[in-house]
Amino acid sequence: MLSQTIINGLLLGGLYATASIGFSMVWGVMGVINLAHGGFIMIGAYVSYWAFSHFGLDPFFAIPLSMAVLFVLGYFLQAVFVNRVMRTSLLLSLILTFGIDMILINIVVLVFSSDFRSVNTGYSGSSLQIAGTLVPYVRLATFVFALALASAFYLFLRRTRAGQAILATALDKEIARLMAINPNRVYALTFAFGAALAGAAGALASMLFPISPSMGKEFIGAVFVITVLGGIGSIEGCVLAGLLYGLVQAFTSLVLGVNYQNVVAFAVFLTILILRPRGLLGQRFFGEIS
Amino acid sequence: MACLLYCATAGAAPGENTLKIGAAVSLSGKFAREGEFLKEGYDFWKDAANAAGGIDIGGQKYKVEIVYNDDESDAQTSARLTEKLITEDKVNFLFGPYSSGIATATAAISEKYNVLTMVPMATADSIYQRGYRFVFCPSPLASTGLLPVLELIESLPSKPGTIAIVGPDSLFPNITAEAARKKAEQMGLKVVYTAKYPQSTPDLSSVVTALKSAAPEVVLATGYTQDSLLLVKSMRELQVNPKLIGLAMSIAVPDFRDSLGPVANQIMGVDYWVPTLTYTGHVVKDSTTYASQYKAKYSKDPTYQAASGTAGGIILQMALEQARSTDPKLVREALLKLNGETFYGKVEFNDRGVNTAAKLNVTQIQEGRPTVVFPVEVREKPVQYPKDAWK
Repeated sequence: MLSQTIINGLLLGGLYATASIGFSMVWGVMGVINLAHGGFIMIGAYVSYWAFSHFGLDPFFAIPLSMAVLFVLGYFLQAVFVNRVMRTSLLLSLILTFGIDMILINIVVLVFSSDFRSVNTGYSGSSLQIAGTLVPYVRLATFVFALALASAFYLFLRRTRAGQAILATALDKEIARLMAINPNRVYALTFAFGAALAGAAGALASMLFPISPSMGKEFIGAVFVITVLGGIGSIEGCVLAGLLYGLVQAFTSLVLGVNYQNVVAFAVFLTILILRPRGLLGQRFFGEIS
Repeated sequence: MACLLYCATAGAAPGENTLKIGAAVSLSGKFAREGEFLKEGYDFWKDAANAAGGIDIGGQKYKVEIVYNDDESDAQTSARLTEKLITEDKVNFLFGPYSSGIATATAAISEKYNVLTMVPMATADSIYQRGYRFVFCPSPLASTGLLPVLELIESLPSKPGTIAIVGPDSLFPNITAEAARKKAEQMGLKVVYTAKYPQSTPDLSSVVTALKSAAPEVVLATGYTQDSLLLVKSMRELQVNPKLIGLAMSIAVPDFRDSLGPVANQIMGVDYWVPTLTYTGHVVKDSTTYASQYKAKYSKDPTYQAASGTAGGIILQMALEQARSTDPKLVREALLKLNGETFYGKVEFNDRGVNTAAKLNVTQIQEGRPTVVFPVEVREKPVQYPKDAWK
């Protein structure tokens, strides 16, 4: 049972990590705490569901589709709405993104109704047997994909010009301007990528969890904890924190019982914040709100 | 934001008698879906009664009028609206809201004014243990939630020996789980594992991993639709194969079945009402008739919430006809003496307003169709036991 617990924790942690990267980047680069992130995850899941039920498209192939849809949505929302409140106060961006989240949820209720949906592929329930431990195929594939996406985004940020523009703007907006980087474009791009990653996480989640308009709300708590735990703006931090979060929850369930999952996870979170406020792998300039 | 819905139905012509019934139900908020079903059930009865010329009370014909207010799925709002319906709208009787939590608040108000309330969708036992005299519920109570499944297990030729009970940590599921655990122990079953998980948990693999190592022959779950879906999917992923899976709530919900597809086969649960029940009664002949008339009227299939609303109206009508008066005390006495049947089930109230003859039935999904398998007198097909392993 111990090895099964470890596997359960790691596999789920990988998914949570991907769900958190977008949120973390937006917070680190733009200083915006995007409460609509849960809504983006939910829409990613619905895109995957829609593609699966209408075209029989396997959810793994729906990931690029979800990412594309959310990229466009994210870019639009940032350029038209979020940009206007970014320079004012943190509270306003919280309220705005909260409002966007509510609008997204209610649109989905109108279009899809609040009935629960599920994506059941042929391989949905099957598992790989390794020495008495069952590794469900879907969870394993989700885990691998999640880490691949995290790595790809990390490389994007470090190796491409657009990615480096994002990092530069986060470090110092004024100097970045001097380097012919348009901050508004960068912010829109960052938000769009954040949304796209949320969409990918949603598409992956559609295979594991029941899909409903309010499913994003269950993620946002974990996403918050993982972001701050890993260090705001740090992708490696998100991955590490995500895996840690998954493991802590799984072990707590084993040792203390399922009700204590959240209590212990948040206790660990608070402890690390007290001992190391910038998170596990965070750097000091990300997370400062200018 | 607050939207009080006044839905005064057909105005009475001068000289006609009107029976005014108030109903504070959830038309917005988290119970909007269920509240809407309940309202449609109440309206179905009202239209059927009025189409037959109204209710006969002591030789006089009364037209039924229902005044609806939206309680926004909030207990305080519902209590306030109930008071308003009694004191300002001067209703004769009340139809209860959806959910025990809200009904607990409104019952206190209606009791204060001695206004009789028929509340088919508030089944927490605690409401009926407070000595209220004017609250009546035709549906079976929460504590009986999983008992029919246990009775079915008792009737099996080769009984299973071990059982696990899991569910969210919430009022209704806790009541159901506790009652089921007591009965299982009485029956001699060994309870090898119980778990209470946080209601909106996104992942149940830890619970299912523990289930796997406990290896019970029967798994009973008291969860809502979302977590029951998650539980079943996780059990399949981790290859947990009990001989029987019984659910307290979700089996009645169509999207539970539709989401799972063939995976849902042979899972069973309790149901307040299905269209294939064979009880017969007044105003609505039987469940098949109800289902087809409801579908013709509202273009969708009826749910148990709607059926319970209609049944509540029918039972009130039966009592009014017996009492030959609209005096709540006389109607109360008539209700206590009532011993009959509606399409929804048998009726016999005790002095706390609990319908002791109400029985949940066990529905099993066979080939994608929910099929009544217990009690034997009203079943469609025999139960499929033991359950096949997940494919």
